[in-house]
Amino acid sequence: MAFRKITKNLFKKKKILTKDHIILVVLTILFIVSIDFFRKSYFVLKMDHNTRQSKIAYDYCEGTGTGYIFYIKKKFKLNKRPKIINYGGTKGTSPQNWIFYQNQEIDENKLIVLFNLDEKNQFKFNIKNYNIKHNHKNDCLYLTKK
Amino acid sequence: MIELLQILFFSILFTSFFYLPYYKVLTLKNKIYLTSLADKNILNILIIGNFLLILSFFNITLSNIIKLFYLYTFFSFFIFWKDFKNLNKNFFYYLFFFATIIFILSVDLAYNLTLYWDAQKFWLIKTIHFFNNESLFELKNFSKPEYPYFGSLVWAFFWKLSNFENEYIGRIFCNIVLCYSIYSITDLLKISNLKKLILFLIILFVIYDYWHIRGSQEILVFSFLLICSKYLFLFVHEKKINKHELLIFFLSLNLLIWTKNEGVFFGLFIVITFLIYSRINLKFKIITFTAFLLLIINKFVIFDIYGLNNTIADSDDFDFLNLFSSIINNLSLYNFYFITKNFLISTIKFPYVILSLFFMVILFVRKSTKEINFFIFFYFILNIFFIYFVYFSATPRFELMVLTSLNRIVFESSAPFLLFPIIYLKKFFKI
Repeated sequence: MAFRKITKNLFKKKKILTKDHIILVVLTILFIVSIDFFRKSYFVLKMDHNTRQSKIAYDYCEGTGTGYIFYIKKKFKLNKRPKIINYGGTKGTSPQNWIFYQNQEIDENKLIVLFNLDEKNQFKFNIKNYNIKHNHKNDCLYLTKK
Repeated sequence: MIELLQILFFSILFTSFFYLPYYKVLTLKNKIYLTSLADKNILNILIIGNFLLILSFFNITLSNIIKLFYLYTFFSFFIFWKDFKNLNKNFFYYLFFFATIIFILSVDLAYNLTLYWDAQKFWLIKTIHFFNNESLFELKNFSKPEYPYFGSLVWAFFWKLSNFENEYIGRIFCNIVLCYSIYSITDLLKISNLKKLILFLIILFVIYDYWHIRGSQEILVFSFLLICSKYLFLFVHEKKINKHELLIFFLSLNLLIWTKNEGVFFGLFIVITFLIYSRINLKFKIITFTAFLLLIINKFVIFDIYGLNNTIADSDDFDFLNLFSSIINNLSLYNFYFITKNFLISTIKFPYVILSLFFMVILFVRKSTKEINFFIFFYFILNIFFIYFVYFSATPRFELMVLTSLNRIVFESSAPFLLFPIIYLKKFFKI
């Protein structure tokens, strides 16, 4: 009885909470759920910008190799843009220079090679004059000049 | 944690900007006739957008534009402080609601981050150019200098304004303009504010996808076209024309022209529809059309001054000198079938287009297509003709062009179709 009185007051007399308010709240919750807000917030909390770029936004070394460049950028704290040679993965991509948008100056001593292996698993790029700083399955490489 | 807090802070800050009375600069003696908050928000967005654009015409660097913006914000805050004293609780209620929605969308943006091909190749490069305070004269050295630059400019503006390292913070503006334009269209119904917010959330729910915020400019074209549609509806259907609403209409058309090349055509369709279906006198029609032409000419003049390519379409895909022969070459049953098939596939990709067309069919079936509602059907037909015309006049790579761009054209041009459910609701629920 008391509960009915309270809800009656809540909905009719004082109009603190109308039917429309409830619908709006429910819709907002549905929207939050559909966006997957909490999981995404968790990832924004847990991962920094470059990690999200390499793990979530782009593929690592499969389709375009953009994620690999972000990974190398973060791991080796690259401020200048290395040369990028992309032999083409399973997906097409535009030139990836934009990844280093903070500084477009080119560092000639550093090189990122993407999709280095041909069908016979042979190297497409001759690494003779370079040191390998990072190697992902011989397919994506980060090199520096000897 | 810091990044999430920064997103929250900038979501609230950027949302709040459009609640300041920037619009008062255009009015004398407080005679502005804008009753709803949605109108004020929209006018603020359009004023800030045009403010940026006009300052860029004088080759003012972004850092200086920001200083002027701070000054403008300070004065609008200071001079019109009385407005803040008289604010009712609804103001804060709206601000809280929209800041929450913008924050939710911004978290989605910060998580996904992916940039679309065009954004990586053209738009972000221009954004960085503006961000680094470079001159407009340099823009001719970039790929696609014929593309309008408003999208990149506003992206760079909010990015620099935030003093944040990452570019995505500038893209929050796309979420803001999308939300306010959707909310603005709910304002056409005579329902309570709460019901408008419910309707807004439903429409946002159906329209929103991260796909739209990938840095390509279609979302801005869609939003500005939606704003134009609202006022087109008021001018034609409700027969209400006042100078402030006309001002919003033209400011929106201007941003449409400066966002993407096809914006010129969509703007033209809106203006033609307005001229044909509104009951205004011939003199006013001539003035309206001349004003629109002046906006287009202004774009050509500015592009000419800064040495940017002055074409209204991509020079790689269209040959204007041989347009007729391109159409003749492409005119085949197979190509017609190919465009139609992909047009239908693209339509299915956007649930709100399907829903809007569903309401269009209902309006037809229930014979509710009064003469006053024909304007939106007219736009619909113009739009379909435009799509076929664009692809039939494309020179090389016909199929690739259809496959890569048709869904984006369908999306950006379909904003006025949202008027179909609005007309339906007005007609059958008398709201």
